[in-house]
Amino acid sequence: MKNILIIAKKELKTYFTNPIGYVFAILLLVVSIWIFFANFFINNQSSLSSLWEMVIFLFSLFIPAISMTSIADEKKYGTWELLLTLPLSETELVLGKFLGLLFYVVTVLLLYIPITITLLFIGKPDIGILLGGFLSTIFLSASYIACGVFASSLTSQSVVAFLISLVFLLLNNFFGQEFFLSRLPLFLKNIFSYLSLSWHANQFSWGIVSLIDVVFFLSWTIIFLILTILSLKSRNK
Amino acid sequence: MLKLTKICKSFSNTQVLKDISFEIPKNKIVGLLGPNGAGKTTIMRIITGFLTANQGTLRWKRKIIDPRDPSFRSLIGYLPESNPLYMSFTPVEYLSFVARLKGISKTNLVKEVKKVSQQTDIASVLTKKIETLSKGFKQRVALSATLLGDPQLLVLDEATSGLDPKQILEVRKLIKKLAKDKSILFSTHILPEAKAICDQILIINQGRIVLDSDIKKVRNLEKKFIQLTQ
Ligand SMILES: Nc1ncnc2c1ncn2[C@@H]1O[C@H](COP(=O)(O)OP(=O)(O)OP(=O)(O)O)[C@@H](O)[C@H]1O
Ligand SMILES: [Mg+2]
Repeated sequence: MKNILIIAKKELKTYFTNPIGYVFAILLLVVSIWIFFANFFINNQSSLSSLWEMVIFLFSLFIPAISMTSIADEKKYGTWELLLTLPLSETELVLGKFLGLLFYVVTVLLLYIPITITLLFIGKPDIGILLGGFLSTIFLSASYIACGVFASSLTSQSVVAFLISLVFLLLNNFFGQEFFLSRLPLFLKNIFSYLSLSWHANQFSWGIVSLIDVVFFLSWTIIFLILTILSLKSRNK
Repeated sequence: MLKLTKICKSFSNTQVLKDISFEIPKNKIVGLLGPNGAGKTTIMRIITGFLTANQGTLRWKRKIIDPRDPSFRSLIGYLPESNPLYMSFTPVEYLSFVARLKGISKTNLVKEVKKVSQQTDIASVLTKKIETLSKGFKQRVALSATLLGDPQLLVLDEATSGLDPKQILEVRKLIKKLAKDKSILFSTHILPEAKAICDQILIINQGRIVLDSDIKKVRNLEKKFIQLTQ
């Protein structure tokens, strides 16, 4: 556990000393505020759900971008050889990387608190939807990060890692869209929507926190973290 | 101290190490020589647990060990060939990070970092960004990280490559000094270097050991090397 935190701390430090960390955080905030208020005045709705739909989409760009270097750079600069010959296991390394990224994303999410407070003042948002939205974003981020870290473990080129996770997450997002799902036969529709992270996240953001969705996000995250560990271990081949 | 017995290693279908057996005695420096691609780095990676052998055993003080075992790893200091460092860190940050992973407690951290930075003479650059340091300093920062936690076995992969003549001499002097209470496996391409600091030399060619001898018994190392690695 101690080792995991040491790695997580190191990751956090890298994101906050790296200008990319700030640029992404601010860009994300500006874009989502802009999109949100554009919607807000048109619909005059004090609901966060349009913001959350946007967040789901923006995060599928943002998270591949910040997680792309997590393991790829360690491979590129040879530091993984150092790390994996210290008294540190692959599992600890991967969990440390994952937690570092998750802390970072949660910090970025804290930037949304002003928007939320504004909403509380000018409208009467449904607190359930508000909390569901935050909760779903954290679960969704965890699942996205696990994919990003896995993609990053497949290569020593961070740009390649970015493209792999971006394409994967965008496709996955697409599979959860109603205009796609409505064209499918029922049994395929069920499968695709079940496997789509954004579909589960949308359920969430209506304020319905169901155990099935939570279990889905958690198992998704765990599966991708296990794949990452296996990918690191496959260096012997 | 550390004994390898019949270590074999293959990548997909090519065998790169065949029946590697040798011993690193206590407080001795063993030089690992061989042409490019002979398998030196691979041997070191197996000893340090980065790679796993397909066959063969490793013994530490006569007991069979698994190099992935954290308790064995904390006895080893490894300097990989590529000299990995975090360029955006300062040496203090880097050394503290490695020290924490080596299990050095927060209370001993400052003392330990100070100790190794004195040994490698990097005290003057401790708070500069690593990316701004000269190659020699970078190398010494990487070397100091391997000394953290006072390991009993040092595995140094081309520790002097890329250094200027004066720095080479300094690093050699340091390694000799370290051997007073450590066993050292040291790979190099420079034959006179092996002669200057090693107690024992191993020549490896195409994944096999072709010479394992006390350095004093080798007459003409250059000639022998060329003969054995043809
Ligand atoms: N991960 C790997 N996959 C496939 N082949 C590998 C791998 N690592 C090493 N090899 C092969 O194993 C052989 C030994 O490589 P190694 O790096 O151990 O040589 P070396 O003696 O350290 O060479 P150098 O003096 O150039 O550092 C080489 O032929 C190399 O191509
Ligand atoms: Mg090598």
